[in-house]
Amino acid sequence: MQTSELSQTDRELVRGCLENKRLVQRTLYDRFSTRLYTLAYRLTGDRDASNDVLQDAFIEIFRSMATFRFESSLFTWMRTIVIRNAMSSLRLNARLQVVTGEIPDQASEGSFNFTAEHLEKAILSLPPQARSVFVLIEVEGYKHQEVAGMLNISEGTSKSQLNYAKKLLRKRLTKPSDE
Amino acid sequence: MNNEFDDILSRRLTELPDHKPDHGLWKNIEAALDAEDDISRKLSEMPVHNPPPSAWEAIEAALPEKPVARPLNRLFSLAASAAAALLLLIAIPRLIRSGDKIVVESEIIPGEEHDTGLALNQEEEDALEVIRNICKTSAPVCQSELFREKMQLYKELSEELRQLETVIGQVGDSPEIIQSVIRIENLKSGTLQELIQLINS
Repeated sequence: MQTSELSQTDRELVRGCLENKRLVQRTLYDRFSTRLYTLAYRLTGDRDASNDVLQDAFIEIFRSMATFRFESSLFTWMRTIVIRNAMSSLRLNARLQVVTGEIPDQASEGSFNFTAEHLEKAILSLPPQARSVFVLIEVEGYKHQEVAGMLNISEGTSKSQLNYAKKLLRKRLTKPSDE
Repeated sequence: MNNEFDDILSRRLTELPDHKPDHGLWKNIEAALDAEDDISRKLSEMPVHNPPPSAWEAIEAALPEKPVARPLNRLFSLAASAAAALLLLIAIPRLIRSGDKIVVESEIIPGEEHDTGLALNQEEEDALEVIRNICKTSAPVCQSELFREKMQLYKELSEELRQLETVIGQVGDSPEIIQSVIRIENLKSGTLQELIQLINS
């Protein structure tokens, strides 16, 4: 029931955007801008770049609305466009190098007691590609195969980057035990 | 140790904070959209430019002096056939619809008679086929830049129309979409007329 209602709303939004109704376009922006901006921010790690990404993405969304085929939800389709734009932004700024380093398999002894704010700071401190893979898989729920396609890397690289990101996070979020 | 970390990580991932874009971002998007709309409006209003009358003379002067008689005769014959075929294609359905002897002239109201629209598409398709056949004979007119431009425009308009039909299939129609369809149909039809004129010139 809820899915059907949401789907109907998607259709109304798409139709209004196709008719170039500014009010409907604004409604679409208001509804999704926070989620999409948050995603762009986590991928780029930069607020100004995220604003640019979101602006370009929304213009692309309105311009190419006729190509939306209702094969997924409207948000899923829009999210793909934001991810593509964010990746382009990262590539333009040459910040998408694969970075791996030596991290001990076991983090140093300590306790884990971190908040969501701590976690976000730690995510933003990750190297760009490891961060992108981590955000797309762990936060957005994509599969390695999909991420590999989006980032133009192999599935193996996606897996190793996720592993690397997790190790770094564990290291950075470990509170050393008192001696 | 690992499990403990993974458990906390999973919990905290669901609690990550949201972030809002800059307050003025929508204004930037709106301004970009307005500018694009303005450009596309102006594009559709742009005047059509004809080459100067002397253009053909310059082209003709650049052509080989010894004309190959046979293909030229063939071209005239094909052009005449094309014109006749087009006339028949347009006239026959109207004659059939007009009854035995009485001819009634009628105004076609867009959107009211889908059959009429389809019949016209078929006629356009047939006319296009005739043009394609003429171009297969390497007729010089088909090599001209103007002809190619018109042909490209015709293809683009057809594609645009196809996309709009897909959209109508998905979200239904609306007065604005139907207006767009009619506008593109008219442009397409006008472009085809220009192509025929080029062939016949």
